Amino acid sequence: MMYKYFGFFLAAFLVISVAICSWIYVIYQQEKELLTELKRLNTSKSEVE
Amino acid sequence: MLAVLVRKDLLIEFRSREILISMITFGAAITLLYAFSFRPSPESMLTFAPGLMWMVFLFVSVLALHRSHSLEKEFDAFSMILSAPVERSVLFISKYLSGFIFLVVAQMVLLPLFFLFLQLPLPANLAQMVAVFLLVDLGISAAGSLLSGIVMRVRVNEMLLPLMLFPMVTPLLISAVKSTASIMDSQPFNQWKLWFQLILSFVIVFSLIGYLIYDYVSEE
Amino acid sequence: MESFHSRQSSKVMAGILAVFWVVVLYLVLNVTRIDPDQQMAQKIFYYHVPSAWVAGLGYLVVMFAGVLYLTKKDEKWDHLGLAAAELGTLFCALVLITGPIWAKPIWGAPWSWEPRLTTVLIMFLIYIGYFMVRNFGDEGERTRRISAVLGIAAFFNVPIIYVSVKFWAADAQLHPQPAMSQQSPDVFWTFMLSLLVFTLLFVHLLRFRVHILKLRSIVLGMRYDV
Repeated sequence: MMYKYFGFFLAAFLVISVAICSWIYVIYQQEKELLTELKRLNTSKSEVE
Repeated sequence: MLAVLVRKDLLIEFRSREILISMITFGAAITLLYAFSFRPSPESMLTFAPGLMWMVFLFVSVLALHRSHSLEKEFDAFSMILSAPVERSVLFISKYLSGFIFLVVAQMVLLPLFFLFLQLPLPANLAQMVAVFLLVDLGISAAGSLLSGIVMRVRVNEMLLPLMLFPMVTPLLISAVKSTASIMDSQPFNQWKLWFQLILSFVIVFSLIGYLIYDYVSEE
Repeated sequence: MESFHSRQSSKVMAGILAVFWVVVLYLVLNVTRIDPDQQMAQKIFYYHVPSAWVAGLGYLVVMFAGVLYLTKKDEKWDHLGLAAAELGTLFCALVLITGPIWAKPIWGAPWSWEPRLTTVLIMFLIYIGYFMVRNFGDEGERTRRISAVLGIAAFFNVPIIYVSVKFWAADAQLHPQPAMSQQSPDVFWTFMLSLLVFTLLFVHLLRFRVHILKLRSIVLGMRYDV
């Protein structure tokens, strides 16, 4: 059975879940970019040497 | 040493008069705008006056607080002061005091104007009023000098200072407005003691933080 | 350096958190009692309060990291401070969003100048300023130092803000103040579990972010070398 105000609960739950997931997604992308750049920098460094 | 530093700030101001003139003109302009925007009955004005008054002084104080550190960037004066054998905490107190003095002087002109333009009755207990104003000014300049030192070398610091200062001083502003309202309403001190204590604790906390931590703010 | 989640322990932690996120949702939906008046809206509480707790925890960490950075001058404390400030502000925003969602049906109005709401809002604004200093300041030791100072000053301001706002709107004390120990066991343990999950999530995300910031400073250092 459905209780009153289910929509409000759902909205709050979704806002929290989506916000945390997007935050994780953003920093995860950042980590990936940084790791690629690190790899690139390492190879160019060894080429110089 | 403290006296020399404060004297330096006051002397620069005495020669250029740029801070006080802009503070007073700006304050008078806002007061004028208030008088034009709301033309309520005298009774309702009495309810809003303390809040409006402190908004004017808060806006005006930003000018002095910003200038107090941005001034030192000209000819890289700040590095010279830092290389002088002065303790950094003394430097903080000097900025704190000169900011306080500018604010008090500007208020001595603006407050009568405010009462005149908005046709407010003078409060019965002037001594209490003066005490509260001086304490709140101390609080604004304590938090403001610290923040002004913090944003000094950051880009767009003239925008950042009010952005940081206004939320930081909300408790002070609330207490100032509440106690000013009580004084204008001739309430006994016991009724608004709490607000006075809050102002006092704000002044103490920010003076202490500034005194202890300014060292790290001013370092090159 | 490797990615944070290539570590076995991080993977396990992320898995545990994902599972328990669902477990908490199940408990909240199906096990805890229904409040006769507020019904489902009351259950927002299982997410709202832990978010507020994590936000406060975040700002506490910012303060300690600030003190440690100023005394030890080690970059890792700055990373910790920045990561905690970001998380604190994220959860602060979540508190500010879920609060009005709950208040709309219960109080009839989404916002009220109620002490706790107002305090959280002011803290949120102060930390927006903190990030502006971070972004507009240059990538150097000075910006880290002044951010540490800001984090400390902001933290000591919290009690003054709270007391002043509390007495400023003494007639607006609508915020529920439930005593958790008097709740029935289903409510109590679900709440505690949610609190635990949020705290562990905070710690996990904090370590993740610190890891990335460390990576970032390595990359930035190498850019100059190459």
